[in-house]
Amino acid sequence: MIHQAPTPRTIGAVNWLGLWTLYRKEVRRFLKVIFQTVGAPVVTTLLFFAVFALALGGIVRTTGTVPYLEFLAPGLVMMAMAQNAFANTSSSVIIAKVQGNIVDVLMPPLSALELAVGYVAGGITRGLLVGFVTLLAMAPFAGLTIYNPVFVLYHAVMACALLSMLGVMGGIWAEKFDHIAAVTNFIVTPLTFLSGTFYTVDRLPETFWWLAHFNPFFYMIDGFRYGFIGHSDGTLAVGLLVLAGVNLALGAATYRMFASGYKLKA
Amino acid sequence: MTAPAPRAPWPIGRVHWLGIATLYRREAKRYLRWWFEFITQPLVSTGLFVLVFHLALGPEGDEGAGEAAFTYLLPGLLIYSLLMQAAASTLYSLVFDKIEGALADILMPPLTPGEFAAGYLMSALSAAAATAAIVLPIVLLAGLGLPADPLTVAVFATLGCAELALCGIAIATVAKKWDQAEAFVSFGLTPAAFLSGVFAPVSALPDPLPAIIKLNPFHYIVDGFRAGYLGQHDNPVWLNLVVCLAVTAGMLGLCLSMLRRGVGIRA
Repeated sequence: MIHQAPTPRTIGAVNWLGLWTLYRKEVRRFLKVIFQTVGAPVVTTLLFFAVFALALGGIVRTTGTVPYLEFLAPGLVMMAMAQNAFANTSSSVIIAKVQGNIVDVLMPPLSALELAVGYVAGGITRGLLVGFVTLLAMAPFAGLTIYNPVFVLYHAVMACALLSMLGVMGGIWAEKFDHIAAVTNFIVTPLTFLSGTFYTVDRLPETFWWLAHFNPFFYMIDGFRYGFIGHSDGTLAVGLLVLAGVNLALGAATYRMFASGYKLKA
Repeated sequence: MTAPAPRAPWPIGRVHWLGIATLYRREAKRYLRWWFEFITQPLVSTGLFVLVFHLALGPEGDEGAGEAAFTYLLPGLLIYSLLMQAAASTLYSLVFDKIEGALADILMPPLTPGEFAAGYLMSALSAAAATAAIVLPIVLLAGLGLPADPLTVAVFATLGCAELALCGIAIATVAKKWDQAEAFVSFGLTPAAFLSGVFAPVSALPDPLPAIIKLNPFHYIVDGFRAGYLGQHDNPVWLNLVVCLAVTAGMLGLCLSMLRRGVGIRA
């Protein structure tokens, strides 16, 4: 009997199976150490909440007409989502590069777009999971109610996508862990901390207040918070457009990086 | 041709000073290799804490209260970053060596458990001192004065960092994987540090909490440190000192006994 060589699998316009496999790999990568990737950020965020609530008199304070804790909680949730979406994609890419197993992702018949979508979807999943668990844990203490679920969801997804794409780009650009640590320490952490997570930007001195309105992180937090408390510091429509625009630009840049093989292919 | 005469064993006195110094140098080189992260991490995290608390606490209506709370917070932030550095130094260094299989390089030389602990302890204290030099300018810029009683500040900083460095050694010996070390930091150290009165007076908290916090060894380090810095404290200074000394001694005893028995590091 003659063995026949298997016929090549026909792949349509989109390699759905490949995309799904990459996504599954990305999700399983963080689920394997779920205590560190979801548990730890949830605990840290709750600690911030506890410190601001208990020690700093957050219970009795108000921001404008909103109780401070109700103001703070969405900010913290957004901060946790953003940091973890970034951490997921950036660490995945840089570790694969340093260890050399990035070829496992580059060799299969996945297009640049499929690679980008697979990684980014993994980052969004981690961000949303961390955000959801944090939100559930905080909601009873913060007295949170949802004012507009569409705004909550739109900003959550857009923010996680934005940070996931930044993470992919950072991971591709970085040559060692130090580089990613620098991006995390100097860009992601400061922006997630200072863009209105803990205070209303009306508090800021003139120049910084003005700068905040050019900061996509500010619109992420502001719009997400609006979904809960029904009040925003910035103009909502501007925020929606800024996030859509920034994500389109980052999406194009991420695609370009994969398509050109920048720092990935010899 | 005659075989070369075996070299006479090198005499080691009661204490293997050269061994301790070599271990210390080895650890110091590790920090120098990671200098960028070593400097930027505490710089950025403390800087952000200062900014966030300043803007969030900002005097809204009652000028005095916000200002006082902020001043109270600053020494807390300072000692917090030193303590976390001290713990991270020994913990990550040992766990890293263990996973890489490099720990044999330290277990093979003729170092007693005491010398082993001394080398790590001194390198962790040096790392904490370097962190103090990095973080101090930030809190000074934020408006904190110099310590009212530098001796008390130094005593509590040293004891606290020693406690944490020893704690790092103990955890590193039992941790089997990198995630276990990280889990200890995320679920053990950070919550204990946050809920110890680092940020605000414990006495102002709602009822069951002050009693719970009194069980947290961090509380006595932070309270003693702040007593020296600002003259404000929740506990009598002697009590802080007694608790810190006792915990340090206990941790030292625990570490030495674990190292002697080779828990987690020798087959």
